[in-house]
Amino acid sequence: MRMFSITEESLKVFLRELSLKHVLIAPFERDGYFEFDVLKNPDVINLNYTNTRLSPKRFFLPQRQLVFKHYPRKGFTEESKEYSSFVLFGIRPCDASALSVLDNILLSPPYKDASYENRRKNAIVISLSCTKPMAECFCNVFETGPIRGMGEDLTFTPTRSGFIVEARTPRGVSVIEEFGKLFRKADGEMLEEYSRLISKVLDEMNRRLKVDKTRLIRIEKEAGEEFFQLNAQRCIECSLCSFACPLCYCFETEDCLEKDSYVRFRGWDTCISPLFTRMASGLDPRVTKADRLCHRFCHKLSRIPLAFNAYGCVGCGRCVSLCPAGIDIREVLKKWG
Amino acid sequence: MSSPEIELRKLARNLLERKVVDLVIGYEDSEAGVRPCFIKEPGEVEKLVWNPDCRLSLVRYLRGFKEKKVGIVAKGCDGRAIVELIKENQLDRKNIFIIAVECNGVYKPVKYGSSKTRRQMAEYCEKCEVRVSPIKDYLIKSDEKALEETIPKGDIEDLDWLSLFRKCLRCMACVRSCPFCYCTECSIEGFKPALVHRLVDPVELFTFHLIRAIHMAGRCVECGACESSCPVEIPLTRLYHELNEWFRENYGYVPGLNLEQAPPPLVFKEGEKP
Amino acid sequence: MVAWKPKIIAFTCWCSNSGVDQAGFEGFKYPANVLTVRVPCSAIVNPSIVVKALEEGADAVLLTACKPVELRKIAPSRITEARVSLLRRLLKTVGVEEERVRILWISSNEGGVFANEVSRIVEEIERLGPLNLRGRMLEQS
Repeated sequence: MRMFSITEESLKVFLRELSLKHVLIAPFERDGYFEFDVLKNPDVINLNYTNTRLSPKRFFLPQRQLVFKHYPRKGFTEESKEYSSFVLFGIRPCDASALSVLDNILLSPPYKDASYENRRKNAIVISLSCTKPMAECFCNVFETGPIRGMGEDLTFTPTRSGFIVEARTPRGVSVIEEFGKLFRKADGEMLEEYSRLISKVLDEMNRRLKVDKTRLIRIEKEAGEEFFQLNAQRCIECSLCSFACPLCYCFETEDCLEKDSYVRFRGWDTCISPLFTRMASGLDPRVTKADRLCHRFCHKLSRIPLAFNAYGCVGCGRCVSLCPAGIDIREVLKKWG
Repeated sequence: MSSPEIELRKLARNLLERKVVDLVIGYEDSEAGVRPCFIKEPGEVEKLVWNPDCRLSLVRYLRGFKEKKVGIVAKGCDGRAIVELIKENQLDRKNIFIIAVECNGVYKPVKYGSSKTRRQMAEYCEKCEVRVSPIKDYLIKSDEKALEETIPKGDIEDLDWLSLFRKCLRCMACVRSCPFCYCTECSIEGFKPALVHRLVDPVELFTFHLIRAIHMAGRCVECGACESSCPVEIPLTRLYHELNEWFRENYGYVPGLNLEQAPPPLVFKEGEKP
Repeated sequence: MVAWKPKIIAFTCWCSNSGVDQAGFEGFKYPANVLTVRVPCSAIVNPSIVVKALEEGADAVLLTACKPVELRKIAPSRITEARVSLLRRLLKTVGVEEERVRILWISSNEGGVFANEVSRIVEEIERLGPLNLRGRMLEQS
């Protein structure tokens, strides 16, 4: 039986003990918004939030990371293979599901993304269910929430008397066993409350937007650039959608000559950028904005599912809220889903 | 539906039917909020709206339509941007039909995950002195009273700018939404030889924002497009306003007020103090 | 631990650089922590370059320019003056002491003036302390 329960007081103890053993990354409040960061003092954790502006992907895919450094006489150094273990506590199921999708994409043989694998191996991911989705959220379309995500080790769901905790992976089970005295088996009444909560929140979201995601595959064949022309006219090619997305993983590398070494960095890039597919010859297969937007949606909704058996969108709604020009992936979903 | 909206739609239909313009750039409503729209057919004018959420400056889109005749909905700051861009030889006056709307301020945007419930007026609107575009082909006056008073802000000296710059993601949304950032190769985007690297280096965030401020000085019309696009809400307009004050104090120059006044960096007057 | 010494970058225009050179071979003493970068004219120095110098570790940046007595030199000197004034206003706004960026008017025969001014400036910067922009931008709140 993998359903447990924990009281609020025991949760505080749990977090404190976790922070002694691992680096604890959890949400806290700053200037009216919430963000994730390394917290030395678990008492500042604030779980009364909808979601963070920036996704937690930066703990697995940093915005800029060192690939290697080369010293003229000493040779290469790479990013250290040792990465301290960390606990990512309190992320939302959509963001946790994004990690599961990234696992499918970046860890599928034969080429694994070594630095992503390293970080993922050393992370304990604990998600916190959403009971009050935001207006922009549509995780129900991709079944990545609102209560249970896909990529976490433990799922905490707030109830009247504390939290229901579901162990989702063997690592999650071992965490429960390690802190056994803080967790109890979930009783029948709690489980009933839990299933009522799931249907209540799901119904609410389905009333707002219900789309058959399996029909999205046809976007690739059936949507021409003309469909995306309207959105392309208003796109300002900034990069916010890709940076805020919890699972956009495209990167670029930059080589720099420093005083004593030659360094290669790797970091976030966006397929919306006019330079993304431009080649040294000057030719560009995606020269117009409509081409690039078409690619973005086709990649997320059609090509990733076909190649990696997972959808390239988790319905968090960040791109919808943060896009300065009001480009809305939900319109694409409604039309093609 | 307010009467400025009715008037705006009637005008847009008229302009398109008589082929005075090839398209009209305005604002439309959507589930994601108010956003820019581009109308080519007279039948589509019902999409146009005008309300205090019409925040993003549309002038930035004019550079994509230089060969066409374009009608554009312009607030006071947008009109000033058009004036200044004409002076910088970026826009042709005869290809633009300026639909000047009287603006009483716009709402500050509420981004993803905010815990704020009360809408307030954008900070850059508080100091605004030019509510109507200085050049216009048609004027639509407002019939609403001004937005309610907002929470007063601190002085510019009170902000810890360095910690604000640290929040920056180098997403380039400020640069891309600005009417004046029309350089095809931006100097702070990382093109080699680079002033700042292409990938974000935390120390260079200082350089990035200072260079941007220097490039905006004396040109920025404080439309707030940068600030409202910024995902981490860095109050950029306040910084550029300080530099605009320097121009006002030293040269008596305010960008975008009229087509005759030349920008001080472009002219040299004998005996003028720096 | 080595005591901190201010690192000052001086962009010297061709004319004023003769003055700086002269300070050297006439034996005027000035502190060694001033690194000169020779440029054809002070007006070629973009304010962005001054900002970059501060970011890269300079505690102060000087622009030495020749005094505008000849007509052909008035416009460039006005440009330099305006730029430095604007940049100082910007630095003051973001919380960096504006005294760290300034112009010195040095003619080609004023090596002594250069040496005196620079010594004074180094003292002033020593009192202000290190700029340490790198440290300030990397510190976590």
